[in-house]
Amino acid sequence: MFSSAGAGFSGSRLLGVVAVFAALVLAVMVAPFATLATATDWSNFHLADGDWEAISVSLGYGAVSMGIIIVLGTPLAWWLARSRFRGKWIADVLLLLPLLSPPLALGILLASFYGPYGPAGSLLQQAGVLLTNNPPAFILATCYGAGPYFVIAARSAFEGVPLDLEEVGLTLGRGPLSLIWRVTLPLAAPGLLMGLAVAWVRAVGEFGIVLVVAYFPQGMPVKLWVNLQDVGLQAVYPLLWAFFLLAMPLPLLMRVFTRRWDGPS
Amino acid sequence: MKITCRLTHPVSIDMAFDVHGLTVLLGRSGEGKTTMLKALAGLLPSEGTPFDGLPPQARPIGYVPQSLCLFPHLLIWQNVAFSLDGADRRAKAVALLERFGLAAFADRRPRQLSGGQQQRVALARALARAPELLLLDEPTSALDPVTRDEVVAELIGISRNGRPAVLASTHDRQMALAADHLVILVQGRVVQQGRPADLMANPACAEVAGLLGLKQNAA
Repeated sequence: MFSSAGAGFSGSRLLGVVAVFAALVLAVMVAPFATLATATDWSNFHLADGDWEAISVSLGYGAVSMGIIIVLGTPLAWWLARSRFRGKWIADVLLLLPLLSPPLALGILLASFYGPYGPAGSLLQQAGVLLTNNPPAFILATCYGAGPYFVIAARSAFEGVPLDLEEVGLTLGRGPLSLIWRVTLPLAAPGLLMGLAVAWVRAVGEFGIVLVVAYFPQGMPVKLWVNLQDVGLQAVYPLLWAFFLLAMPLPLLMRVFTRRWDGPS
Repeated sequence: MKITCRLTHPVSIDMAFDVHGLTVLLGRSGEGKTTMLKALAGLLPSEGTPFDGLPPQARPIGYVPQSLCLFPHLLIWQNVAFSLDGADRRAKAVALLERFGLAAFADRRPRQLSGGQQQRVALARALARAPELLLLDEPTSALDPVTRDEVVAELIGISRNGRPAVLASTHDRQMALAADHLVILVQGRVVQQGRPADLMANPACAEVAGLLGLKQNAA
């Protein structure tokens, strides 16, 4: 990467020193992951009771959350990318609020708002909908935890599509909706997929918000915590492997895909 | 074709001129040529004839911006066929590409073509809708002299039978002199229009003479 910035700089002594430093930082960052392989008791490798349920809860409801995030977040991101109006910064700040809030704090706010005694929760309860310790509450929590990551990435992806291309598309007789489908979405696809991958990891790994709003049904992160408390460290590793093997392939594949994407020329 | 165009944003423009065959809008940078072409294409709010009130997708125009704006994710034939529907859209697109000697490139991506080839693809794409008016923004600005002459010859050929009429903005004097009709812009206003030979023989003012390369003689 550095070599493309300039042949003169790439050969400098400074770059060599920083490369060693960067390699050390990377090694320190990755070291705990390597420990997982050595710390696991391979001769007695098995999931604990309830781990399969936790896996299916995380993957199943996480997938539902992704669907909701795509449906609600894509138009919001497009609007943020394309609209120009006074006070737009307020929309930006509002989007950042859930992102910058500590998960536990956000969980408490959700419980206060959607819980049985909250303003939205009491209304929903009258309609027969309860958002505490049930699958809808789990999905709600993961949407709040993961949604902003997708919206911010999607917004950036939409902003990367030159407006000129959409304008030319209009002069070729296509309407705005047709152009979004035929030009904007295909060109923004790498960024959208990367945003989706990050949101997926956030949703599957969400702990703080879920802990407050939906302790049940237990997904992988909460079950990890329960295993750690009830059994001990050795009961955690198999589920931890499951977590990495099931949650990580999507973002890693997306990363490979977006690196291979040639993009607008 | 009589063109009138009035708009106040992003620059104030109030122009009226005729388009015959290959018509060239000649003016220095910043005179509002690009703005006016975008307004005629319906991409900027404006008043005027002949397309007043129509949204850009309903205007019978073809528009080729200076940056060409080929769709990078589509193949060349898909770019040309962008405005077409039906099962024979590929055949129609390839036929248009053939007219520009580019049929062999139908299955390539825009980035795999040279600047001149991309210019022709953009022209073919704009012509696919069979427009009444073809709007070209600085069509020769990024081309080498030889390719420029080829593109100008193609534009003359396109406009030869009267449909579409071609309106091209430029500050390229050579292209302007090859036009059927020349419209000179100075400070955002049409100061003179007519056949290039007539304007050369009788420039209305020193600015027109300067744009036509006659400043020394006029002075």
